[in-house]
Amino acid sequence: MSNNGAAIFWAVVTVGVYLAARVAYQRLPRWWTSPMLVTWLFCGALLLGLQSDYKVYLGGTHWLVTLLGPATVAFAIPIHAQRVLIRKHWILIAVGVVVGSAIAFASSWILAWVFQLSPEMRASLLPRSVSIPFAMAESQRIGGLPELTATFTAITALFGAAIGDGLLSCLPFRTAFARGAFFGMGAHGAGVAKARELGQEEGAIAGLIMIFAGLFNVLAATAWMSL
Amino acid sequence: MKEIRSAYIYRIARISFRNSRWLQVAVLTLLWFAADRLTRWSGLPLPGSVMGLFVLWALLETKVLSPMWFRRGAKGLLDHLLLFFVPAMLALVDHPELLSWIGVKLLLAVLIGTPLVMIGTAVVVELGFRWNQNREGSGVLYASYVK
Repeated sequence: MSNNGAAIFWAVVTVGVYLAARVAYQRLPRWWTSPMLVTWLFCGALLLGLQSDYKVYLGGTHWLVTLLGPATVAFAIPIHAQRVLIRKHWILIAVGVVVGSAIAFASSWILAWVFQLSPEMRASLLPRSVSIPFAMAESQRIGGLPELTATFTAITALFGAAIGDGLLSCLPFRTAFARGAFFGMGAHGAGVAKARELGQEEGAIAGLIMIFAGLFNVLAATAWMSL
Repeated sequence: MKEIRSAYIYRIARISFRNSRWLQVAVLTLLWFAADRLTRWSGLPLPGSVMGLFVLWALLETKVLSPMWFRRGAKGLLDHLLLFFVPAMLALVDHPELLSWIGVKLLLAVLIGTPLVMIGTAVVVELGFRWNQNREGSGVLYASYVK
């Protein structure tokens, strides 16, 4: 297979598997049928099975990663849609974002120290609690490997969404705010989907916490690195 | 007659733009591209995508642009966010060193850290909300947030 042919093949396989996985997820919505997980594992297995070069794969699918840019810009729409909520509760949202980011940062740092991970691995691990486009941008800034960060971040989201309901049922959080922050900060994208199942308010708060945590982390990392 | 026709064409164009997810994605992509070039050219250390987010947000808040123009495109892009980073995650096949103790340690770090972040954040937000309500002395708002 020529490189061009292989590139087209991988693009078609990736998008095709994803679309099929979405249909399957609608039939059976569980964390382990998440289209992201299915597409990732399927394409990964195929890559290893065909002993294909990752560079060739990326050559065919890089345009998908490029779309993370416009998708990040698109976050302005949900922010604008929730402007009333933001104006009313900006202090609480800010507190949640800053404290959540600090806990995420500190816990990753301490665990990296306990497990004696290399500085590069630690830097890849640190941004894992924010939405992936932001996490990858942050990872690049603090000397991590963005593609590894994407993986840790995705595992965080899947795990957080999987254990979220169970944890929540044995914790006494009475406000929609706390439940939204719980999912938005802890499990970003997948968490927001979970929070929406709890209620509109929870979903809105989770979405805002997720986006602002991403922005806060990228800004903080940028400021830190340019000091 | 000509004016009526051009007004008609303008209206059709506006309605079809509001309904076209693809056109809106194209405009969001252009916005991102322009913001990306601009940040690089100006030497700002921010990622271009984050700059683009701030620019679009500011244009929406100042009512220069209407969110109606981007709603469908933004929803389309954000609905499929999952797909966009799968290729990046597959870089794992180029890191066979992770199929060892390091990989297990990294996985453990993620699995231990995630519940800590979730619970810690929620505790602080819950306390903050209750404190705020007590200070204001009204249970009305609070009640509306309690399930």
